[in-house]
Amino acid sequence: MGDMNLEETISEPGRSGSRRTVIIVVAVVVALVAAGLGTWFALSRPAGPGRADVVRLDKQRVIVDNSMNLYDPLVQQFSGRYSNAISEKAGQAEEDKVLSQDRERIVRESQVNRDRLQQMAESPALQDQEVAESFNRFKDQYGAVIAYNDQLVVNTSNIYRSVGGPCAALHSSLNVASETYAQDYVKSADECLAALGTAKEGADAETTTLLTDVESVIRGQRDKQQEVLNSKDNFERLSKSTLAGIALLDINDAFAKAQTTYETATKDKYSKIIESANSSNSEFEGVLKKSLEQFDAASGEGK
Amino acid sequence: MTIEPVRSKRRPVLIALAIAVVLAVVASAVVIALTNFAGQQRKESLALLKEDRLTSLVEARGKIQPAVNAYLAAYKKARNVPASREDAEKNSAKERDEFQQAVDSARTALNDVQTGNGAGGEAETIAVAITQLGDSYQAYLDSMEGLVESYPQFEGLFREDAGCSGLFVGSKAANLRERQTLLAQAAVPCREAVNQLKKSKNISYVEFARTLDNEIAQLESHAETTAKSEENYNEFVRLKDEYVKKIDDATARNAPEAEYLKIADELKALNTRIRNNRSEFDFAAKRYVSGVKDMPTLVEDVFSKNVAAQIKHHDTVIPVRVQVLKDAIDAELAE
Repeated sequence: MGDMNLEETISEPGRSGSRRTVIIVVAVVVALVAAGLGTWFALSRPAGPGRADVVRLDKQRVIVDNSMNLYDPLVQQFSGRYSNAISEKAGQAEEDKVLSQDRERIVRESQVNRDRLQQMAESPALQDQEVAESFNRFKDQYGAVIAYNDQLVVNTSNIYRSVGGPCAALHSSLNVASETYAQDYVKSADECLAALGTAKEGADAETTTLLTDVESVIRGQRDKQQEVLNSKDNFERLSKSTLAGIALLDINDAFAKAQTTYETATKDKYSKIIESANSSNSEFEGVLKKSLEQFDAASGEGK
Repeated sequence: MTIEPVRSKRRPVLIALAIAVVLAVVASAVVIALTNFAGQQRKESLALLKEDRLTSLVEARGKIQPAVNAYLAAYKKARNVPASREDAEKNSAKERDEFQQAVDSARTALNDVQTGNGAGGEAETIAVAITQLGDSYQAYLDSMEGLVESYPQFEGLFREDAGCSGLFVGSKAANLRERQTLLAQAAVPCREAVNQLKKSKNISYVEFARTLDNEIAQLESHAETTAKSEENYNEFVRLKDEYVKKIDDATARNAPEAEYLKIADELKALNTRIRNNRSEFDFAAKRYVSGVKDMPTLVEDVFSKNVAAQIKHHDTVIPVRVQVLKDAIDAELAE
């Protein structure tokens, strides 16, 4: 615009010299001001990755790392409430309430954490290749922690719904000495086996192994009690029920073994995940720190 | 000043252009200044949120637990005088008010954090952190409010209010049927109170009420089984006497062997019934006794385990939520 003004002014012959000077001065001043503003604007919004981007990314890293500490209390709260609702037979409505409140809270938590990782992925600071590589490892490892906890919620629900539900009655509320024990056992065991069957849906490998182990223990006991029921006479019934009774003695060992296997496997899996996450976090932290130091050194030279 | 007509046509154009340029410059300067001012404002409001409002929020929460403890102690003391529930509530009204004030201030502090943040759309991380903190903080306040509100109900369960102590029939009953009847009578008002407690805002009370309800049902069912077994036993004694008479009679008559064998079969069947009756009795009696014995532990666990765990949960979660929000603000303020 200023140029156009200038041109027009120049093209005017016979124009008063002082006025032209005034206009030129004004135009030059305007141009200078515009240039100054432009520079200020440009400087206040740097195009390349700046120190602030690195600081921001580091803060986001701290937030994600810190947020992982929430899974433990949240999962505990969920499993406590869910197991109470199931073992105390609070009813479907109450179970659904726990699922929609306490389980959904964890689902939302994971979504927020994934969003945080996604937001970090868009940081301009990732234009630095070293930062980007380190971030990708961080993202993968923390993504694994989030996925683990999501799966944990599914496993917990499945285990409580089956083992904690219909299966719990099997070895706590039936009277072994009762006349109808074999009959009661077979009926409860069938309910338990059905629940165990559905519980495997969506479960991970470790949980499926646990559920399968429990299933085979209970199926074995159930079949022995069924033999008692199938007995033709009193003597056969007595001998079968004695055998079934003796087999019951082993059941605690069998359950304990299944439980130990499960706990060891999941513990190992989780510690490995946490270990990798922690190491990717310290590495990422170190890279960001180095990047900040480079910025500080550069600005120090400039001064 | 005289201006030639030909040139005078250009002058307004020049002036207009100059004015336009100046206006444009001024306008952009204003826009930049405003943006900057707004940015400055935002920074200040975020700093305020981080330094003042969050500090108030944390401080307000710090006052809740002592207020809860003070109220629980005051109510218990008033009740132990002894006094009725109404009187105890009156005599602990001061502590109850102080607790309510602490909760109200905490809610105000939370509200300030939730509304005081003038951040725009770009501060998504901050908005999310505030929502998460708000949910956790709210859950804590609700649970503490429920803990205080339902305390007189919980505390009165085993007093004359609800009469659940009637479940401990002890030696009041002359026989097992009477025990069963006394238990069933005590269970009616007790159950009612338990069902009231199930509506509490505090989950520890609710879960306890659920367990207690089931425990009562178990006790009732075991009491019925044992009472029935005792009655059966009396019947068996009568049958035994009958058989003794039958055998004596057969011996006197010098009856045929077939009759003896028939009696022997019947006795065998009776024996099986007695054995089964005995096993059912043992099963139920053992569970009845342990149910009664475990009940005090069940009550104790509410505060010593469940409420304690609940408070620990909030004490873990809320500080992390606060820290995440602070870090989100720092990230936003980074330059």
